[in-house]
Amino acid sequence: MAQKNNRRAKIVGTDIEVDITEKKDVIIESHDEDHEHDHHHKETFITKYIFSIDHKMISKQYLITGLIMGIVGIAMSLLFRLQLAWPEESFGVFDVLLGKWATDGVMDPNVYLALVTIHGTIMVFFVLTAGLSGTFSNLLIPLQIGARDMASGFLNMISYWLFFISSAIMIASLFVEAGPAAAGWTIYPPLSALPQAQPGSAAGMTLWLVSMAFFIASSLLAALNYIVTVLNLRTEGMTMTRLPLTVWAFLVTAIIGVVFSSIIICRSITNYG
Amino acid sequence: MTLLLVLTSLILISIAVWQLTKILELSKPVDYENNEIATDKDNDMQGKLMFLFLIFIYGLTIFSFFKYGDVILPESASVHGENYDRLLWFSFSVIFFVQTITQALLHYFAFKYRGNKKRKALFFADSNFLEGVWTIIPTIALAGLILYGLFTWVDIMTIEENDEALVVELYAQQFNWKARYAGEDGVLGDANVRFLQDFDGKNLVGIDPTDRNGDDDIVVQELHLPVNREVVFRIRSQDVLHSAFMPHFRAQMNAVPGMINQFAFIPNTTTQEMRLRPEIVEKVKKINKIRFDKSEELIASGDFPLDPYEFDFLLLCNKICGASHYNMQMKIIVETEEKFNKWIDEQQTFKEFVQ
Repeated sequence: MAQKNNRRAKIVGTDIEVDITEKKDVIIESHDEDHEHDHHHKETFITKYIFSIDHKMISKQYLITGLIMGIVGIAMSLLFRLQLAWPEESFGVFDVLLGKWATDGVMDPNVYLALVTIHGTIMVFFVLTAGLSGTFSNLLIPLQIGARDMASGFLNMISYWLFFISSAIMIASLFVEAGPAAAGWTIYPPLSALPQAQPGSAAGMTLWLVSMAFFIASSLLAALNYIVTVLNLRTEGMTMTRLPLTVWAFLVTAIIGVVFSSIIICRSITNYG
Repeated sequence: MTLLLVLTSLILISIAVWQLTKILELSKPVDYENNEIATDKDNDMQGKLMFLFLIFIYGLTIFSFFKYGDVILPESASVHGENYDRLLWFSFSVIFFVQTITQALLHYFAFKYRGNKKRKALFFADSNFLEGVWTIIPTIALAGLILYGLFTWVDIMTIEENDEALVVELYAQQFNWKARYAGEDGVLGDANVRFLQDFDGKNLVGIDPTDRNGDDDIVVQELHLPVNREVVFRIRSQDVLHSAFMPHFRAQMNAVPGMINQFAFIPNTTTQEMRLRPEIVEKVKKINKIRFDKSEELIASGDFPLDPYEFDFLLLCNKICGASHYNMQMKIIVETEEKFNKWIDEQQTFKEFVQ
């Protein structure tokens, strides 16, 4: 159990001395807790790999989902750039992948716009926002500030699974009758709002908006978690000014995320209305 | 179904390969030489690669300048366009200069201070003076660029009241442009989408038939502009967002349904003069060479050859607006005042057209 010894240590390369008495208590206590933890809770496959609340596992989940979305996004950009480089040319790969949207292997203009749109959406939201921030913030924030995990592991798990649902819906939108959203990733109405304006603005657009609503909920939960973790769970001596620049960047990204998520959730709902 | 089968087998095969490599790796004896901690040799290699990369990107930049330098837009054909280009080139030069130096330093230092067990790193906490310097210099430089940009912006966007100016409406719809001249009175008649169906659909841009100002308005599908005279564009859209983009005049303005946006410029080069400019002649020659080669292929396969290309100013749509967005354009012809007056006299006014 905790021992009270007054101990002081010197930080390497400086003349600063710090009191590590309390620190030692924390280490000893936490070690004991871990010990008990091992005896009472056996991790199953589901709690360890699927509904995990461990920041490192969640970070890997984000990484793998982000990578898969990234591959889909890059494949799309290859397709529409083939069309751009050789207009009106027939390609067997279009025939196989696009079917009725590429009669005789020539890409339909609506499908070109749909590919550009979903490519943009995937790259901006699913790869850059979730893939990068989800992976690296989750992995590095606790490690670099000396916390044992994120402030709320449960919230973190919910955040990942909302992101997963959002990705699944976005991919599902590729398979609707009239094609996925095609108004550009900025989804400007009225083009994106009226099915008369282009076929992609029908069911495809609805799914796009539903997917985005889940995505925003996910990134809001994640961002709140990052902010609380950085502000409250720093280890002793890790003041805000001593935070690594990486963590500062994550913190600022998270704050911006909280600010913009409320705006775009309103936008996706009003656009749907 | 076949596709599903192919995809499933592809996925299964890749899982099998992945598992096999894993087994192979596990069955190998532990290689202490090849663990994942960087050695001096690795660091030396990485440092040299960094320096090679620097040479590569600079080589690529210089090559691109020579090879693709001529695909940029020709010199501006409008008065404000010269200020616009000056701003662009000034910003570009500053950014390019700073980028060249910082990129070189970044890669050179990665090379010079590459990891070596014999070398000891210097611990350097911080220097307020240095931090001050590298904060203040960019602040001044960027503030200067922004101020210059703002002044140019205000200069370009301010439309002074001018009786001499030609008033033209640009009307965007999926997927074409129409232009409406204000006619002799110099005032555009009121317009609204509700009037589009009037006169058996002959009311192409929805002019209000009760507004007398609209009687002498002229609606055309090819834009003619007199040289050296101010043109004020009033930009409308019928259906979705479009963007009126006239790259040769360095002009762009969104067309928003329910709003009238404005932009004004003075064209200072006629289409004829533009066609005679050496850089345009060169460009046209290059495009026609490609078209000629393509035509030979087409003729060989029994198709019709392509038309030769001739330079023209264009009004393009620059905001995704639907299936045929890529082809939403209108030809712009800039000509002398006399030719323009002759052309406009031949056009029918709205009143004549609908009768």
